[in-house]
Amino acid sequence: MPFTKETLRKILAEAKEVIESKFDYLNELDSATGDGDHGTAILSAMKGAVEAARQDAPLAQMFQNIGWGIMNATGGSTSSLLGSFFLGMGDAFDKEELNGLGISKALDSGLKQVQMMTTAKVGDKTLMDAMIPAVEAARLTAEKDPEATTADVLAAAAAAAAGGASSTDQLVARFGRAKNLGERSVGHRDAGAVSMSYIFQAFADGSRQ
Amino acid sequence: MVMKKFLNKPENLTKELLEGYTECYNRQVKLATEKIVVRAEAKSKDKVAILTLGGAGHEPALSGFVGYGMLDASIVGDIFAAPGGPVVYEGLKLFKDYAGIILVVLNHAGDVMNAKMGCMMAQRDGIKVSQILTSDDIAAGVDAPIEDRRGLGGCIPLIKIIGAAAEQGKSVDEILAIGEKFNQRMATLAVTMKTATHPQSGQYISTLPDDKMEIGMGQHGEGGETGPVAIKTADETAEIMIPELIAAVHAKAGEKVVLIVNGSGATTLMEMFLIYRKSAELLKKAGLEIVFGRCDELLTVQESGGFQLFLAVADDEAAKLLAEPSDAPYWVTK
Repeated sequence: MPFTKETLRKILAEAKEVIESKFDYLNELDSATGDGDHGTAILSAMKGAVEAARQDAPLAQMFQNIGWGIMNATGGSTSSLLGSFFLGMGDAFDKEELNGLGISKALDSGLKQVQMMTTAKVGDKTLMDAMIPAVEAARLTAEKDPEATTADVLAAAAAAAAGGASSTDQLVARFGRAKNLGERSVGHRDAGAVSMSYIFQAFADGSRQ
Repeated sequence: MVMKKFLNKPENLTKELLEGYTECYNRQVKLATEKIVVRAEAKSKDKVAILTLGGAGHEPALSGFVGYGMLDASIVGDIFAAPGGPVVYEGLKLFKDYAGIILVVLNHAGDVMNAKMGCMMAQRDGIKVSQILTSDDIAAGVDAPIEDRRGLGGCIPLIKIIGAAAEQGKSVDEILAIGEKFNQRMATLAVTMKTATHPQSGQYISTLPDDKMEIGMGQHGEGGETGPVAIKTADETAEIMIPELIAAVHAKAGEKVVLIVNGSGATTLMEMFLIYRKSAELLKKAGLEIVFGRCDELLTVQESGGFQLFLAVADDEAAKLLAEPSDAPYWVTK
């Protein structure tokens, strides 16, 4: 099934639902190394995203509206990072339907936009530990098999994001507030990487149906 | 966990606190939008506007310093979180017709990124914005790279100085030069005795054993470099902190300095005066002349116990600007 506006709406609704159910868990995770509000920030972001997607617009424009919706709805790092991700995805195409390669290119463009905001890399214990491997896995899947469906591509992304999120347990934080904890941040999972992995999982689930 | 705080709905917290604040000080400040605080009486547009952004929950910072001689606007985010890029842009747009805009940004990832996003959006409209990035925290060491130095309460005296310069009609470049000169030689070291809860989630923002304190903890409960240590007396604490601050600002005998003890929320003025007493004694012993001193709650972290100790070298110009009149609700100079 190609990726359409309806797929995107379904994904966002699902992402919002998952994050709502993990709200306290995300705040708790963030409390260990940050200031305990990541659940609050990411839930506001997803509410803003769902709201922005209600308005009908061409698919690329809808991605951008979601980016703005997120930035309007929340603050902190989440605002500019997740907002930039959706803004960037909307820059990559002008079609109303995306195939596997199309969605992988959109993800790639989203990542590039995020990298204009932060220099965090894999291993720095941030949401980039989920986002970078996810976007790479999507690209590899799409490049290896031109017939790969959006569901295949997004399933690979979700698996890589989940792996990336759990890898943060063993990492020393190098960005954001957790950074000042140094070695003491080891043993805690990064809340931003976890919520990012939920969003990628929603992308995978939403595109499969 | 039951939070012992007087709250209404968590999601309305920032909006309501700003409404209360601007109502209380309506002679000096008002709301331009839900989360942008401006002066009740705008200054004339032939002068440079001074703006800042930052999360709520640190009252009176930063909106408490909007007023004559200091800020023109404070762009407020939710609790402990920078405002989103579009909100920053909205704030900058309000001052597009002024002689210039200087945005004071505290070095925290969210603040820096959203300031960047807001400025990018403003630039597309042809609005030019200059930034001053403050990174006065020396918890990571006196010579730590800028990425490792957070912006703490030092932005407030800096805002007082550049705000006074803006009021005198100085240009963007002149104000930036004055601001950067002060910025280069200011330092803050925080100490935390008791941790605070996040007023929306009820989560502790950090943990600290009952019999310990931590030097170098940031204003959101981020840990210090040394970790928790046994509680020390006021004099011992000042004796640890002051030499580090002197070293950080490279203060030499004969120079003029600014000393501020900024309470975090639960530490009493009584304790702050003990810290100030010993700190002043140590500075004088080092041959430094204190031209401005203050013990107060300027930038707080909820019910957190502890304080930020601030030291800056002030040249004659900065000292004079600090003494100029100001009429912000939380910084009045007659």
